Amino acid sequence: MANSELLFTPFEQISERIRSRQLSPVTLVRACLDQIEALNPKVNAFLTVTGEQALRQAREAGREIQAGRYLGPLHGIPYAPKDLIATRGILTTNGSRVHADWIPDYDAAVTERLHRAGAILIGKLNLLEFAMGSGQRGLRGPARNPWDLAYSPSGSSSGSGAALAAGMTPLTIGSDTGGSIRGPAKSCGVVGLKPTLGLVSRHGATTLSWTLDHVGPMARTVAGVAAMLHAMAGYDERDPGSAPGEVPNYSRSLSGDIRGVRIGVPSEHFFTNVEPETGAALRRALDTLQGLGARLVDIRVQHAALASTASSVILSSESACFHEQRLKNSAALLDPLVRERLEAGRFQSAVDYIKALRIRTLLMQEMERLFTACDILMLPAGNPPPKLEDEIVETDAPRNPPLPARPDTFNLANVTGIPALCLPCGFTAGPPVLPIGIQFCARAFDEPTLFRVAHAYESANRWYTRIPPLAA
Amino acid sequence: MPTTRRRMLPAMGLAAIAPAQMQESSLTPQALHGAAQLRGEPLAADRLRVLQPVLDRRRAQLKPLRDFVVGDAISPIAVPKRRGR
Repeated sequence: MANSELLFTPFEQISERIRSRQLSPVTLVRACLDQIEALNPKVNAFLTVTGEQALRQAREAGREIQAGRYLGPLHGIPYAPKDLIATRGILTTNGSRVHADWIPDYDAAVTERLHRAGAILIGKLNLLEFAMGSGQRGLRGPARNPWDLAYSPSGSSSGSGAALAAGMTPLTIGSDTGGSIRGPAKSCGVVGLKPTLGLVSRHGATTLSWTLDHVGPMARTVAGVAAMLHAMAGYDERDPGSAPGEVPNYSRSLSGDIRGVRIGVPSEHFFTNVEPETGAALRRALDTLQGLGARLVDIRVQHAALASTASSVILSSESACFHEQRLKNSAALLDPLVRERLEAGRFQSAVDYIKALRIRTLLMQEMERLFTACDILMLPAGNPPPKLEDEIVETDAPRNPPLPARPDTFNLANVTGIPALCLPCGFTAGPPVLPIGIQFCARAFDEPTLFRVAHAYESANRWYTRIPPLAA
Repeated sequence: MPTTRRRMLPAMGLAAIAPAQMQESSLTPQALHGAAQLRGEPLAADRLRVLQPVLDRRRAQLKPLRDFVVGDAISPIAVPKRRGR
């Protein structure tokens, strides 16, 4: 099998081939390493490649599987986390010159759990500095979008989206404080999940905001994300925000049957500033879902516009507090935008911060009400990505002319903690041909319904079969 | 520079306790200087010049949050609930 065919085979088929011993983990890891070697100089998705260690682990996984000690669907499959996820003995830079040499002596909870499930770490992925920078002055410059290298993969999990789209690895981990998993998933034409707050431990993931941070899985198909979440989720006493409770086998949700599922479509706010081509793709997606038996319900999210303001205040205050010492001691090493945001955060008032938290409570109550009227909330995932040069900004000061207004699509899920998943729903006519994304949200901890709907939609359209020309 | 009451008031405009007319005017570097001094962290003039337009913009963005009235029963502490709990 040619490398490109193997690298773009859906996760579920790769996993089955490894389980049935038709494919060795060593062959898969070698193919990924070859792809990284060929494309990373252009895409800049990987900051560190752990090739020798990955091959060693692949040989071990092959031996274990041959001996009948198969650990499950992730066994022998390579993955790569965003480089703010701590990896024991491996450089973890946070995309920053401040941490250019940091080698943690511990693993993050998610890497521990993926190792336990037999997944193989193949490297660490590029990001916006500390998940909040411009991408320009970070450690090694910005990642690029494999669909067109002049375009942004979006951030802050830029490498996590770009690496998947380029076929460098079948699985990645991102983090999402205001859309940083879902934005790159949308822009790179892959699948990304921001899980329910508390479902996945954040231990060992560098903080941006304790209230808004989520760590989540990314893959080229919904099945890959579901299998990863099953391994990553679960209570962890080291994360004070971790939620107790059973972790279901999410892969069992992928039935394809969505008859009777109520999909809420908001009548206002979220579609403002959505470009016509994206709007048309979203309408076609709704038609598909209706054709599969889902029922569309008009809904209204009360106080929706307050989510982004509350999010901005919480993020600004908490990040300024978390990075207090770095700002004091290493300001000159920071991306100018990171420095500016941290300095500005120190002017945030406590009253505004606590009010933002109270608005968050109100919005959480609103989500409980909303999800009695529908099972899934459909939202845009933003517009197709801008050119990289247009996205890189060095200041939040007003611009003349101003940056194009964007739809407000991601903050609601971060502020309320509900799960939200983005996947492709088409491509622009081009040139350039770029992915268009759709977002589904569900009630807290209802990832099974989210996966069921996303998988049914994905199976009906199979957008994942399209491959960036660069990577084919 | 010692912080005087005249400098303090505009500076504290950032903390939402300025008079209503302050909301409409632009922040001045002097006001930010006063606010930074109140925190005990004076900022260099070049940093104040960088931050002034950023904070001015942020102040405008904060208006919907400040104008919104939250009921007394709403606490700042909440976690997502599992269904049926």
